[in-house]
Amino acid sequence: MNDCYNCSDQSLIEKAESEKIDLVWQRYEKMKPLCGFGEQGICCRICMKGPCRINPFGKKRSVGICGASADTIVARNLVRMIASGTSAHSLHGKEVAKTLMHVARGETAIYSVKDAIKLRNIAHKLNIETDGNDLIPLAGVVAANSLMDYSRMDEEEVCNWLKYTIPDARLKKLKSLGITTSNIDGSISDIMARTHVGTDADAVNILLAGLRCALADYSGMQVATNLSDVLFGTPQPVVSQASLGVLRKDAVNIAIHGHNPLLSEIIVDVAYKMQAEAVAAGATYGINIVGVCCTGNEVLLRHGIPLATNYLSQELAIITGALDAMIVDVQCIMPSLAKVSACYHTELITTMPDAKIAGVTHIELGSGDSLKKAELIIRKAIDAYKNRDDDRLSIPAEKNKVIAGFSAEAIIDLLGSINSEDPLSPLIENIVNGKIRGIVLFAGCNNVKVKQDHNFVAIAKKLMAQNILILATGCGAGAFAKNSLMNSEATENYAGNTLKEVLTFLGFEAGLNAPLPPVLHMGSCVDNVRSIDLAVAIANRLGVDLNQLPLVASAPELMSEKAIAIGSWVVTLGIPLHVGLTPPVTGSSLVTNVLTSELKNIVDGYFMVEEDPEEAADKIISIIEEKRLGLNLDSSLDSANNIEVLS
Amino acid sequence: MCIPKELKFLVVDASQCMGCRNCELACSSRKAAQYQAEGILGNIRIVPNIFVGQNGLTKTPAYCRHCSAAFCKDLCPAHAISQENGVIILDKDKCLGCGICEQVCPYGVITLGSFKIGDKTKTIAHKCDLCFDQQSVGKEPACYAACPTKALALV
Ligand code: SF4
Ligand code: SF4
Ligand code: SF4
Ligand code: SF4
Repeated sequence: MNDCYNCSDQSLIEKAESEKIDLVWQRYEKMKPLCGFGEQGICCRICMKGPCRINPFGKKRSVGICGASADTIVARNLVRMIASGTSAHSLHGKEVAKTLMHVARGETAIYSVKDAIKLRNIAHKLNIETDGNDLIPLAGVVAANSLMDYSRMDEEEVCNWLKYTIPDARLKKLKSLGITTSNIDGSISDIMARTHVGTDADAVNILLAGLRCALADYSGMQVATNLSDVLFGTPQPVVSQASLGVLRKDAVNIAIHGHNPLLSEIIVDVAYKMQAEAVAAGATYGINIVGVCCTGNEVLLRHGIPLATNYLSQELAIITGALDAMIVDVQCIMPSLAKVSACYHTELITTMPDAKIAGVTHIELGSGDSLKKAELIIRKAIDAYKNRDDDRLSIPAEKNKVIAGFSAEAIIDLLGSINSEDPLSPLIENIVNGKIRGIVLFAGCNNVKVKQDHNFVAIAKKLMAQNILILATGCGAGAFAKNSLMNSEATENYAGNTLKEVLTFLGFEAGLNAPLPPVLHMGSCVDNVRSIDLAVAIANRLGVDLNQLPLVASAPELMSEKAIAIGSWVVTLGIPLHVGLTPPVTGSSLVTNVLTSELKNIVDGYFMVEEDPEEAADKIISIIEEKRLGLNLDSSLDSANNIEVLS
Repeated sequence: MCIPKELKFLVVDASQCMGCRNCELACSSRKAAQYQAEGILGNIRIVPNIFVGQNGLTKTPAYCRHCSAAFCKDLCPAHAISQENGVIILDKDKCLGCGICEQVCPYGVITLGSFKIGDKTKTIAHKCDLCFDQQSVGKEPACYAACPTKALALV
């Protein structure tokens, strides 16, 4: 069996094998057997009396040395994963908010407000007085209101980025459950405190705190995405390319990898100015910046920079022999890159104080001299290019056209070209009349336990054939970009007839002169909130809550703690979530039952575990149909009737 | 060698194996203690006599079955492997390190290990002896004792 759905990736895996370089797939095989206690979540390392493991087959229900049950242990482990994911996203958000504050105070020459309209829209959304407020002071107020979400003392309050971004009905429900958050960092430390030995032992209570922390994750992601738009621009449709074929023989190839646009934006700007140096070094094309993972998504959406690869195949970018430097920031950077890059001429450079790799060149960006440092980094890439060994070059021919940049604003603008009074109406009408059955958001990572990208592609193809519109973010979006599902041809080839009709109509109305792609790239993993913004706009327009929409999310190849955190807030916001791998909770039937069924009675959303992609697609379709039924929608009814039913 | 009559044998219930490799670790720890006593610890790679593998979702240990018609015993040119009270036992002193037993074991549970004595390298085969030394003093075999789910059982 192939390890990757994508054939060019597969050919590079074979190259690595012949060069005796171990990649993630070999390391996984060598790691087998994976410990079942960890897999089921019943290994506890919380105190030094342990580690304790619960025997899932024991006749008597065994407990940890302190007496903790499997339920307690599984719940504690799970919410700690949520807390870690929340930390990752919300720290990213906090850094962006602090940067906006520096801009407002005139403390930085590197960053500025690039999208004033977005800033004003945010101020409006957060209920901040905008009249008479000049742009820069307004930036300061928006930054302060965002940073307040990390520091608020009054626990009765609700984070701005939570309360002003979800439907009222949802907010009311979350409040009644006592799981709204007033302080993102506070919700994280709450998890760490209550999971300390001998504190919260009630699995359900622990899980509810986990949901609160997940809402903190949501709030932090809202900060990250929205304030990045202010600093770097809100994405608009852009045409580019994806897959490892975007590397060029005649260029100095630099990959930017990680998550934080604060750094990649500097690299992109500086590289642009240093083209001549690269040409002088013999690279006729100059510098070719390519993206990996979510930094890749960020710069693809904002600058049309081609996407080389998503998470699991990150090492393969180096195996092409064409990558001269890989510049990494935070999250999802495999430490193995150090070893793999040492087998080639590739310069690996870490840039963040909290994300170093032993033995790897570290050039810190983010302070006053960032531009100089960025120049130094690019120069290192150009020097490395001179050492490239052409005999080891193997750039796959495949590169696929991608239309990306579908922020919620971009989608609404696009629809507004049809009906400027009520921009959402063309989308809503088509959902109502059944030409679009519903919407599925694909998100999350790759996982070595699944043939890379295969679950994404297999499920999405089945859904689009059934006229379901697909949104994608993160490495899910990477999977679709690499495998040619984000262009007009994909609509022609795979979309069901009525979906094709709508996408074609919209594409032409919007002046693209081609159908919109069947999968809309909404951005990086923090940008999952963009899809929520769109869903909330639709829900508010219809006067319903999120759980009533024919909307399902899917993370078919999830891996990271961030994915667990996102999945948890998705269900807390009322949206059913499919996961393609079983999270580490099966050691507790109580926790498993809460997540997969009881949650539905509490927050409307729930986890649906289905490892088989075909089955998963069928189950997603049936949830969509169920939701349509709940809204009195049916494809046989005409749109006018249904609008009446809804309003 | 003096193998007591009432020695217990191992069986496994794969459905209860968690793949935790505690059995491997326990077997290796016992070996480390033995090597220390023999003065060769640090001079030889420690390899357990039990190996946990994974196929799909199923995890299970491979270990010596103490075959009634044991290829390893029958084919050893040095007659280093014998059968006593049903236990297939390897006499290190007789072993030539030829590796035939390693090749013929259908379960792949014999390994060869080398260590240096002076400037010479000695290679000998290793296999499970059911921890007979422990069993004869009323203790459990190391792997069984360490198995948290008792996927390994004694019969
Ligand atoms: S907290 Fe309890 S279950 Fe966890 S390691 Fe300590 S004693 Fe064991
Ligand atoms: S070592 Fe192999 S062949 Fe010899 S008795 Fe054990 S299982 Fe049988
Ligand atoms: S390695 Fe030793 S025990 Fe095995 S067959 Fe050769 S001599 Fe016999
Ligand atoms: S100790 Fe038991 S559960 Fe663990 S791997 Fe060995 S046989 Fe399986």
